[in-house]
Amino acid sequence: MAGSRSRAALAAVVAALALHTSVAHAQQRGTDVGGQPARRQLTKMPKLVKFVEADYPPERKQAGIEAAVVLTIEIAATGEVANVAVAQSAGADFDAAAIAAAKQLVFEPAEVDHKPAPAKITFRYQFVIKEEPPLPAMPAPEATPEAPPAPPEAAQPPRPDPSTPSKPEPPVTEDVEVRGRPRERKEAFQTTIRAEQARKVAGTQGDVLKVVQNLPGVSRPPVASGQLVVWGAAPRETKILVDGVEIPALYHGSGLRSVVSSDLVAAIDLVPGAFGAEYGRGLGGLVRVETRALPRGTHGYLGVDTLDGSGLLSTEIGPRARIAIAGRQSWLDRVLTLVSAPDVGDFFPIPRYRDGQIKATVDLRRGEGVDLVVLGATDDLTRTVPSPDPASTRSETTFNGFWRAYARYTRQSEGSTAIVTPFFGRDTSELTQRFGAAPARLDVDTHRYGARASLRTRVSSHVALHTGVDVLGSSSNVRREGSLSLPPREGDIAVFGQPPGDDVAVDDFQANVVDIAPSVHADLRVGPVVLTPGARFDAYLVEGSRKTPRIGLTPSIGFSRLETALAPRASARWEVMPGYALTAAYGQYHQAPEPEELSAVFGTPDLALQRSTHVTFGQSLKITSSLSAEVVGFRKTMKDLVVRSRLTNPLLARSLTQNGEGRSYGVQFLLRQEMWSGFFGWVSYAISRSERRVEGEEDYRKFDFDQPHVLSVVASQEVGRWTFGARFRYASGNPRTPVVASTYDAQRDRYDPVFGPQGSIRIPAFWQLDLRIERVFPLGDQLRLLLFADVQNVTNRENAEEIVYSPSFRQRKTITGLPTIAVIGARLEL
Amino acid sequence: MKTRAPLAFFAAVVPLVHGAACRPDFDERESFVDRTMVIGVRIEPAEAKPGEAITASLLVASPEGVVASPATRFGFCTTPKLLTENGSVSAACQRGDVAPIGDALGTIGSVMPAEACFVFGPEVKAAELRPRDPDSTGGFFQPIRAEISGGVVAFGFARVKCNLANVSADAATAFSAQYRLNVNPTLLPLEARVNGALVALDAIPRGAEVAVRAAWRPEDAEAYVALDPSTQLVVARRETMRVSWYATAGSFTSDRTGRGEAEPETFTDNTWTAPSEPRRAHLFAVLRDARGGTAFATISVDVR
Repeated sequence: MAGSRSRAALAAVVAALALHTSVAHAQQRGTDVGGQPARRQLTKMPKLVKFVEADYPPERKQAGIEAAVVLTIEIAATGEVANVAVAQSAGADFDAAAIAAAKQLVFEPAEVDHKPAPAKITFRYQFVIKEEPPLPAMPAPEATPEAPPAPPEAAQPPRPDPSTPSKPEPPVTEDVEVRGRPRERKEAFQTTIRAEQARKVAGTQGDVLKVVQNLPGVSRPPVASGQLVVWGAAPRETKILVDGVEIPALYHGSGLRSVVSSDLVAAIDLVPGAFGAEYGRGLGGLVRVETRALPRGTHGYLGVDTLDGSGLLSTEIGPRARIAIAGRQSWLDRVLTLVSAPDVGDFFPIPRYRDGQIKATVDLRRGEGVDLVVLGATDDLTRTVPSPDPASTRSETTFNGFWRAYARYTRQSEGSTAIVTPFFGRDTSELTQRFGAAPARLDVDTHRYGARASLRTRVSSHVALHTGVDVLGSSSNVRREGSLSLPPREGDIAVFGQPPGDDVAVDDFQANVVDIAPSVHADLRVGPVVLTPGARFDAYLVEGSRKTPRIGLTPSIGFSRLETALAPRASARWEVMPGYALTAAYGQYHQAPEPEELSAVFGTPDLALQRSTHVTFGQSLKITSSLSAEVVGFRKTMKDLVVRSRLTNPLLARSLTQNGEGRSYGVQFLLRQEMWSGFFGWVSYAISRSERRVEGEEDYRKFDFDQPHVLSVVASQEVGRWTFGARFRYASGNPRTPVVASTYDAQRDRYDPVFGPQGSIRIPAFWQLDLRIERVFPLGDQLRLLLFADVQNVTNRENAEEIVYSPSFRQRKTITGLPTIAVIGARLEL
Repeated sequence: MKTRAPLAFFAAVVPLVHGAACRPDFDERESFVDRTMVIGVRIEPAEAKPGEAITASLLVASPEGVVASPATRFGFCTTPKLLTENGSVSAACQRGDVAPIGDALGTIGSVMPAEACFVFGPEVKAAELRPRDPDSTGGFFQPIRAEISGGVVAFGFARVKCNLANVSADAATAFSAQYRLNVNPTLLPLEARVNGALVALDAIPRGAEVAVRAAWRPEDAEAYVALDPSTQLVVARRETMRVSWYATAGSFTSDRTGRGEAEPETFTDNTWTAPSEPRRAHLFAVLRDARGGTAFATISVDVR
């Protein structure tokens, strides 16, 4: 016991030294998870005052096996250990021993602005068999906030004779993360995934943001589609925000990759509905991507796989600044050219995509800093399907791109936090198709600018007030040509592959939309209940260059109007007992029309705001420190939705109307295991219904993306340097309108379908099992190589992806999805 | 029958690419006549003004050859398709909601409805109504519904000459001065060759690959003018020509062939593979110009 005490005392010294070395990094962390600032001044590090030695697992000791377990320890403001989780596993027995010991540690609490505050530190608990007494204290490795833990070998001391008595090595701190307060759930219902976990999910090819498609409340997207359908809302109704700045899409056009480098992502929040007053302009949900704080030192990676190549390099520029540059380039089309016929690209849509990011962080003064970020991504696709029949020759050229530049200024002072994020950027979308002689074209070029500013003030120990303003301006040039029925809209009755109408119209106009939205909400803590009332007011200035279709050379007449909307929001969370909480939320939401919908030819310049109301109710239960369960019921009602005119003789400049109504409702379940003994995973299931109708109709029809049942099971297990992952998905098929007969069009020489009731059949249900295996190879102290294989559809199930018909519509079959495939890749990490 | 195996190759290197998915094969060739089917509707004249006389004629094929004088019920569509409808005619007209023309044996005469330019054209009775959009040739069409026995429904489209809408006076004047009404093309007799030599139609070798040529007169691919909706200028165009091929036995290489606007040739070729057993076969060709003009040709061959 005397020996143990001496080792414990020594360990305390080691821990304190280690913590001390990390102070600077704790101060310089860019952001905490969830997009909340963490630039308060850390005035005191947590100090280990009671160390407890872990028991060496006997079997491992006898076998001479050494290991290191990396732990994440949350320390309460009282100094007690509040939670322990395994960040890097060494096996169940080592993990259990380390956790058991760590739970008995006692600290002096950290202090932020000289006040006790919760903190989170990362320990490496090394199990080393050695003969000698405990090693003298050694300096901790340089901390790299949010960087992946160094491989166990990196800090491992020389190994003595394994036959000698054993003892655990004192813990080594790798990282310290201090929060001014425990992380609160900013939204009543949201799912947050840390990037470290997300990249290990099978079927995502290591792409952190693709995990969103497996979160509760998200419908399965069609194959080769990056659409996000959240709680029954249309894809365009869910907003994507990176550090609070809206971007047009989370994924490249085919859904193959996300548009932001995974190594620049710290966490992803999915808020499927009922979000707070800070956000708006969307009837559906939110996906918030938080970029990671840049680490000290020089880091980076180079990665290649079947789809693309990518890389990232980050480094310090003096003591106050850091910068990271990342980029990605697809080469799928080149790979195909090498292994297949040269003209394969004419028949198969091969996307070509690229993206890049630059992030710089500058620490200005105490509690004050700024992040400068530039994001950009492009997709392009060109293909031609030739035919001896001139009317059957099809060609398609698409280009989609965007870039954003923003500065995120954060200032923290006593009791308040201010964030200002001005930004500007450009979205470009070009679509040119030709079906025989019939052209189809839609080009939208939009310049975007704006700013998001928020001020959080702690009024008292029970009240915090949030005020903010959210400004977004867009100036769009729109050119459209072709049939009104292309591109299709939700609710159109058509079958897959049906050519568009051959009617041709043209419009070319400009549209400007500026929205200024102040918001306010408060966090009121009343005993075990936290109430968050709030409101948001949006004032939209909508302008257009053409109120009526062009007539000859007559100068166009523009329009300008103001649309306003007041959106009350509220949520409540009642901590019924420790670990069990009830939550409810309510909110009203609205969304402005898309620029192309303001066309006097194809749309309606007078479109107003679409509106929706969200109501949710849920309960959550923390079963263990790392295992939780959640049940959420939701209902969304929508009105004033933009739909095509149902009139036999549409009015001039009224091709679209706002007669649409919708509703979606359901219940979702989530059982989630956070990292524990190298394992994490979740099971999510949603049963829901989403429906639409036009005002005056008695019955609702099924929403085009309605999926009543969606089940996702995700699991990942680390075993030493290996990681094994699995993902199982089940989803109902989307509704389709059946073809019951056909008629012959003798001019175009084709058959036209005669439809049955709209949305009365479904694509057969989908299920698929994916597996992932990953192996890390340390290459000295600074490098490591990661190899992975992501095997999709391991059962080779022929999932139906779409319903198709023979040319005369006498036969009906399905297009099936991908067979068993493996994406193999490698990453060299610095 | 699915083509999963070949496409799996692409899938192996193109994960998640839409084209890598497995598209089923249908055992249905559009050029194979396996039932009684309407394969063409000819409107004479090919373009007419409201109130002018028109004649509609069907070409009906069956495995036994041309169906002569098929009992047909004709009617004019009276409602345009909705903006939500992607087909050629409204769902109401598909169901039979028409203004009856009458019953006839494959051919019927009538008058282009006076309302055609208002219902299916660019003319509006009130300024607040949206004019219809033309097709890519600048044309508007009155659909004619034809139903033959067995519930087979086909639509012919009578091109209707209407006034231009939403154009400048200069463009309207130029258009009126230069535009010539469409005329139906003439399909010359089909030619069949084996190894470059003309063959007798009553002695086609079994399994032979027969080159079949459909030709038309040079003036059939007419030059015409159309209003370019983006520039609001009158531009010169030339008709594309398409031939749809049908056979009651054997198979054509392509279901359709044709010539684009820039191609001066006055013929198009296809290859018909004769059946492997002796029998009589019927070949059909339907020529269509870009503005809706139509011509038919049929030959019967004996395979020996």
